[in-house]
Amino acid sequence: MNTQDVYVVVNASPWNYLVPLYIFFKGLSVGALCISVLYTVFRSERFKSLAFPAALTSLLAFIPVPILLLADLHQPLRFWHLLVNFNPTSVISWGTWLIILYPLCLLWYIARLGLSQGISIPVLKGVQESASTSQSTSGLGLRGLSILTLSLALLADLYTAFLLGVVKGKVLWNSALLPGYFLTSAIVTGAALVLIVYLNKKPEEKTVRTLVRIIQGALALEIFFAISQWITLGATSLQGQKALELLWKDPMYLIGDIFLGILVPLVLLNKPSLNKKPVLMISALLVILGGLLLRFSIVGVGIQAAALWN
Amino acid sequence: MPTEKKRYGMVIDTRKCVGCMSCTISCKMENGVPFDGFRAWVDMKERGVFPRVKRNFIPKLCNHCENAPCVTVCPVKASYINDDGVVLVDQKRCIGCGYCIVACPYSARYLHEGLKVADKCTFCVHRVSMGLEPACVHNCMGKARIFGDFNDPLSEISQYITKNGVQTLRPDLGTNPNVFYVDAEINKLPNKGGK
Repeated sequence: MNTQDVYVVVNASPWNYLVPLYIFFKGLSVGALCISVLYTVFRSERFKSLAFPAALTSLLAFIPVPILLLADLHQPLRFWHLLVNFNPTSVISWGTWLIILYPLCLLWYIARLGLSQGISIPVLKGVQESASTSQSTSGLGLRGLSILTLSLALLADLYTAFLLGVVKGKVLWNSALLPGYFLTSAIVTGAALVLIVYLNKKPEEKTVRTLVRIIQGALALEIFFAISQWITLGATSLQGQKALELLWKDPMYLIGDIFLGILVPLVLLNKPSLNKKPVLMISALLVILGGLLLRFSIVGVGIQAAALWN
Repeated sequence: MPTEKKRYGMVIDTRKCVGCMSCTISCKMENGVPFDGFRAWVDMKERGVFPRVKRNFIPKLCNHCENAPCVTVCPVKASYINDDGVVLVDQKRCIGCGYCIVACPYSARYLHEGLKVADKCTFCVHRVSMGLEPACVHNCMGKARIFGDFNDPLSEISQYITKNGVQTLRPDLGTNPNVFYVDAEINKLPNKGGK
């Protein structure tokens, strides 16, 4: 039987470009931190010189997050309502506290890491002094603080996937794959940003190679998540098939994320070397662009696909 | 005998709807709904293959779900269900994050461009509290919309629902809507170009 719309009303979604941008920058911050903790948690000496710049990159990448979050509220002056009206069934309520606690912990972590590496940060002088005192009183060493910061970072990143995932009737978002997909994308974009920062310092060949291996591995994992999503969407329901059609028709997804953001960097990053610095830089930029377009695509198409069933 | 607690709801008999949109217009006039938002509207679809074609009119509004996704996701508890089972928005508490609008599977909410908060059908609580019907019900020329208390077995709506087979929109989502449809060809195909 044919069905033809004559007149269908769909109230417009109030979410615009600010939401995917917010998710993207938060991912960048979390991803960069994941590189930093390779030294402080996993004790990889290869990343010793990278730990501090990566942590600082993480903090700088986080700066747009609260700005975007406030700008997205249509009543930004009522932001404090979030702090006094906690709704335990709302993912945003939990996310609000994670978004507050994570950067505070990150600041503390950077101050402690700077202390341990003999780096004085004039802007964070007070925090560094407090961190020095608290270490002797609380006994929370750099590793413990790193684990705490990493845990908050992972939760702060994952909550956005659950924020989308729990929305009823949005077949593209209602997937157990989404948290893993978003986290992998966060790690790969964060690592790419750290690579760009590191290449502009005094990079060591071994560290660059390992960082590129991490990016390659995460990109491969992203391909796994993408294909898993295609199979499950395409095979399970008509709603899923329609959503997949829309996703594939979205140039930001297939051309932007999959081709430019994953496949091209995978080829370019083959046999990485410091002699190929411009190639490494371009690859890292493409990876970051891909992560940005993925967020735009998943948020936009998720809303668009669900509107078909209203 | 009716119980003290009310459970307001609506039955829409699509056999009686002629798609005149008087519900849409009367709702906009009664509640000052802005140009680009809708609290009540009528979807129109043509189904079938010539010569057996049929045009369906499906009046829509907030489903005032018992298990309302908008209430669940609201981070500041601005969306709530009142004692009569009506889903409402506390406009002074709402921060305009838009999460409830995105979370509503019926697309029944919109962002009020003037107030900068989420807005939706209230079953015209201001009229109902004065003993009147919601504007869309009062102005429906085909009497396709029946409003009342499901907890009162003698109410018109309770009797209507026992005499007519009803269905809800997207029952698969488990939202338990309080808006029911008679003879609506819904829940079958996607809106755009489905076969």
